[in-house]
Amino acid sequence: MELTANYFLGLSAALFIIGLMGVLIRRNVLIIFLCVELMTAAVGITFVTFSRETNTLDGQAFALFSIAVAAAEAAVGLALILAMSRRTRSVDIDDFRSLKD
Amino acid sequence: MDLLNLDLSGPQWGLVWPQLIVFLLAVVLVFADAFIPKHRSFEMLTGISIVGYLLALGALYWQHDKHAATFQGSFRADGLTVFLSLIILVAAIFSVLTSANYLKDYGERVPIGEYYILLAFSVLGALLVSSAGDLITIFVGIELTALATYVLTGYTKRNAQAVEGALKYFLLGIFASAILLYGMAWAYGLSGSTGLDNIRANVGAAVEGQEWFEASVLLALLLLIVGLGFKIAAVPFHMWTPDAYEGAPTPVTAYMSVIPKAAGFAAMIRLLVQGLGPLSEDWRWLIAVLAVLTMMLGNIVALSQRNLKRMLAYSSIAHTGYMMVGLAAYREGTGFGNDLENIIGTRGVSALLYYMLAYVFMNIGAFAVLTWIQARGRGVTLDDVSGLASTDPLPAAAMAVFMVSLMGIPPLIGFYAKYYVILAAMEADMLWLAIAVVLASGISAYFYLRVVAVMYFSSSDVTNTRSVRTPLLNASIILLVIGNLVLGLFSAGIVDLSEDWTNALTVAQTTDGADAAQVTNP
Amino acid sequence: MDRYLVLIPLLPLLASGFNLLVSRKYFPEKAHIFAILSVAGSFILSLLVFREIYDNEGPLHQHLWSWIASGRFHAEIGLFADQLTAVMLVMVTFVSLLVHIYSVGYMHGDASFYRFFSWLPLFVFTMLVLVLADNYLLIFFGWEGVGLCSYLLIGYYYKRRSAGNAAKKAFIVNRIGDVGFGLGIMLIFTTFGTISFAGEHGVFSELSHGDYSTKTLTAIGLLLFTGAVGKSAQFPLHVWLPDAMEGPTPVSALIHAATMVTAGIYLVARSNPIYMQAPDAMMVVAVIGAFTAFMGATIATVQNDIKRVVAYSTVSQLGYMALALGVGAWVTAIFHLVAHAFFKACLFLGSGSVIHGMHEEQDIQKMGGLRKFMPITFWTFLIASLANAGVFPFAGFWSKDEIITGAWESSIFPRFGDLLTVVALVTAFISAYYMFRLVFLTFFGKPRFDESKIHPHESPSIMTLPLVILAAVTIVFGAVGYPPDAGRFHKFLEPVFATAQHHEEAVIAETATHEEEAGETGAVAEAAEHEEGHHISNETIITFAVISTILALGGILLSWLVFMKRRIDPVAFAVDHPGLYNFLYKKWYIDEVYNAEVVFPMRRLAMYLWQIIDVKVIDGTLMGVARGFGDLSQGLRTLQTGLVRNYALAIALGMVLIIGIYFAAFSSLFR
Repeated sequence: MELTANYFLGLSAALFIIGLMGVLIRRNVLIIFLCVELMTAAVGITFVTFSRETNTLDGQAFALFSIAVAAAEAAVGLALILAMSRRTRSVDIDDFRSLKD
Repeated sequence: MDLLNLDLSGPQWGLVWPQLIVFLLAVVLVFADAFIPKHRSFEMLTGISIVGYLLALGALYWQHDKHAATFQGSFRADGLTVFLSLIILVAAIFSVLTSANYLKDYGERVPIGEYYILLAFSVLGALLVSSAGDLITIFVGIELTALATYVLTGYTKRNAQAVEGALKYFLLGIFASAILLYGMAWAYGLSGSTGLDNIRANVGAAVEGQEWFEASVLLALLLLIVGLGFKIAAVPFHMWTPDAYEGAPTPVTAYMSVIPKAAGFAAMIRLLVQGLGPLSEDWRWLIAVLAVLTMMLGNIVALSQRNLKRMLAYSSIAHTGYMMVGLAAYREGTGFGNDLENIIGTRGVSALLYYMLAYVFMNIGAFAVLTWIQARGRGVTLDDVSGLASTDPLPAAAMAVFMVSLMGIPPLIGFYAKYYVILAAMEADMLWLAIAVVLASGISAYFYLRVVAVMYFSSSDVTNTRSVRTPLLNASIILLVIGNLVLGLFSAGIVDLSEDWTNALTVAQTTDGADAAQVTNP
Repeated sequence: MDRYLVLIPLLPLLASGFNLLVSRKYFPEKAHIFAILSVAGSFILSLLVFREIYDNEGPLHQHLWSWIASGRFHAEIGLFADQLTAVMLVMVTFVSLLVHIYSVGYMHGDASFYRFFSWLPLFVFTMLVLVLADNYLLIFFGWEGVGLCSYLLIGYYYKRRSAGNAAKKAFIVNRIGDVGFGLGIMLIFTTFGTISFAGEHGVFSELSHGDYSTKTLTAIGLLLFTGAVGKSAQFPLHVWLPDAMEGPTPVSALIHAATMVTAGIYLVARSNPIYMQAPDAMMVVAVIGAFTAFMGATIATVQNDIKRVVAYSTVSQLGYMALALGVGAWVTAIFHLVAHAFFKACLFLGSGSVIHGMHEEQDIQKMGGLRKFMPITFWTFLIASLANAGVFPFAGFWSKDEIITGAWESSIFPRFGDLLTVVALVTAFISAYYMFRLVFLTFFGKPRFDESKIHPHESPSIMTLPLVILAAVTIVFGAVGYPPDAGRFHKFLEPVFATAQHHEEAVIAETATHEEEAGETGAVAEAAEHEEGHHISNETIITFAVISTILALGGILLSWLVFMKRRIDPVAFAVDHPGLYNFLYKKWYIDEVYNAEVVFPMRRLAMYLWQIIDVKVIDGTLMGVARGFGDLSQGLRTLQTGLVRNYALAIALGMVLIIGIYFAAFSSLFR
């Protein structure tokens, strides 16, 4: 079996959808956050695949940038989650609903 | 594309001055915050911020006639850059003026320095997006703006609502960013380059024939629209808006209703018009439908809001809809199965840009008045502004001006903004879209005028107001009112200007790799 | 100089804004200083503009910016000054300056002094924009602006109910005219494709090149004149002007005598190339003008309120101006406009001085013998009255005389001209009569007021100085119009109406040929010959000068007999002829007719519309729709659950839906 780019694209799409479903289904804030990180990482695979496929370097650079941005997101996100769980003593996303119509 | 075709010639720093100044401003603020004694820091930091943004505004003057790109085409100093930067910097100055007194009022409990630093980075991100010629720049810029805004939203971290709003905004924001990123990955994969001009060239050339390719292009396009739809708060990706707006401190709400949205629209113009312009026949229908949904839902739900911040949040969703009409009126070239020779709707983009400028003056103004009321210890519900005209006639008059302007009544700027958007829709043969704008405005009249009516015709039952001096906030409100009254008179000039510049955007293409390639102005 | 044109209106605007925002809080007593300085600045600039145009004869043009540009429709903000503008500029700023100075004394001690001096310069600003505009839309802006300021200033004493009502009446009646004007502008745009009148592609140059149907031009002319009827108080929309006297007297002098009410005359004169190709429209202008002149004069003979007499005299004089426009005596109309501005401002300011000295008494039956108490007011009032009566050699004499000869010589509708001339002559007689009735009743005879309670006194010098200046101008102004029809004034204004004259001759020639075919060769040829070179023969001029002087003196004599010598008892006369007296006293019953024929049915209709259509049909529907939206709003609100999961689901679902629909509809994958 030849390992073509389609397999990598399929893998990344699968990971992306798993992350997406995780965001929709899970209730723990940290898990949701990690699921989003999973989606970002999945996109990284797509980038690297395309980089290989089109024989250009832009995609690899983009993958690196996305990792850097994800790290920044993690810093901000964890700080916010910490601040929130201090207020409510909970990490259940459904507990955070004082703002609504 | 050769792997080793690296252009190592230095970038043209001269082109980057406005953006560089804002970056330097952020750095200076970091150090100033560390070294200036606490009791002086408020005045100093506010002063430094305003001076910094004014310097950047001044530097735009030297950027405005360059029409060039640098950093291998990933930074573009074209007309669109200048116009968007102008809008963003003006909004930034008003944001500083609006928030200054609020911060001072909070006193020792919050770190003032961090607020201005985050603000500066957020503004820098928006500037980067507006000058982007490359997917990476757009992504980094969008994320820089957004990350700083998340923190600003939860800035008063002892306030549970603020943190909740920030957390919701954050989680949904990174979720949407992941989708946006996935769209960018596909756009890159199809063209083999992250440069917008290359994407444009390759997409246009390679669309015909290949089914696989066609589907992938559509996937990339739709994912990008979904991701950016979140940033500009288009229905159905808008749901974070009311919660985040309500939770955030009011000056931050003023800020986040304008600059991240401007960044989102900048990215949309860059991606859809500059990068994927040849596909305009495909995406403009989606944008048009989303625009109608957005303006209708925003206005209808705003009808039943009593909290003014929430009401303005829905109103800002509705205004996103109006702005999207400008984008939907853009038509060019050959899409799938279409054979339009010329670009029809460049007026659409310039209408969008003018609307954005108007929106800065209307929306920051409305939130500035809310900040003014809050500074005096009142709340932000309709009951709190009841009878405001009898106790504080001038802020009430200012609020009335902003409300009527948001509604789109001549001779205020909001009217001209809507006028050009409607005109653009009609010129693009989308009469139904123009009618939708008018209908939506009709619905909106109810809740905007209700604020005016409550201020002027109800009696005041609020007695225990504090008296505080808010000179900077007052100055900002006065300037915004003047802007609302006067800028409409010069609308033709402004729109012509932005039209000239956006024409340059759609036609011009920098050659790949060549540094500072001159962009031809048609 | 054309680069500084914008400063002329800008200075009063700045003063107005400054007084409204700054003076009001910090020095409300000093507000007049800024107002006067700004108007003085505008006056000096206007003089400079006048001199430049006088020297160069070329119009000045300053393009400021584009206002709205969309497709074919361009709305530009530009200023334009030719000879006509220059004359108007100098007149407006001069009278404004004097009225501002006068107001310092008149409004002294008023509770909202600053408010007065914020609105008066604002009025000057809008008036100057109107005069300087280079397109009809900008004229319309100034037009509405002066209307608004007039509304604000009539209702200045807003606590007085009648003042509020008068302000509303003025506003509403003017609205009727404005609708016509607005439609006229639209018709101009659809006809010519531009709304700018000056410049290479303006209406006037289009008019001289292209061939436009007379019907369209007549429609445009009539619509524009509808606006003028409202603003310049012509019959049947004159009813607001006498009521407008509820405002402070300086306001009446500035707005309702010298400047704003002449805007309609200016508009028609400005559009003269259009009218010259629409003889029917001109005939309407002339007839309405003549009728207004006659009607105003007759009503003025029996009114007892000093300001109302002067107001009806204004209506009458505006009628004269419209008559002059209608018969094609353009320069004469403007000449009379300017002369009238000076003597009528003087009359109003004089009556203000009388009212001031009489402690707010306005009824002339309760005055008398004031000559002794206020000599300066008396002499200036007398001079202005002589001018209004058309007595040699005051300003009014020359201009009125020219209008009468103009009507006589009018060639556009030969048979009609004679009738108009007779009306104008009769009106001249009545004018002299009512003017001197006013003078005799006010200043001569024995005091008819309680001398123990009221002590009339001369006004302070800040009020009498403008009176003296205006009276002096009234005396000398006639000189610029000498010799009649060929004076310096006429030479100066000639270029503006040059095209008009050209067309007039063409029209005459055309009528001549037409009538020649009909076989009336002799008479018409004579008339055409008469018109050649556009000089009216000296005999005609002298004849009419003599006739009108005799009539004016006759009017004065009659007035003297009635009110000084008591040869005829006016009261007995009124009792003997109650019908005539009441007809005039009740102002031809026009207000009553309006009430019965317009207001009352309208109210009935409105009640019907309100109670049946509005409440039941529209409100019902609207409430239904509103309730529907309200319910929808409440329903959609429930989507906003506050749960992040639901929000994320909305995003994901939206994404899936969009992608699904697009792939199904556009992509060939599923086909």
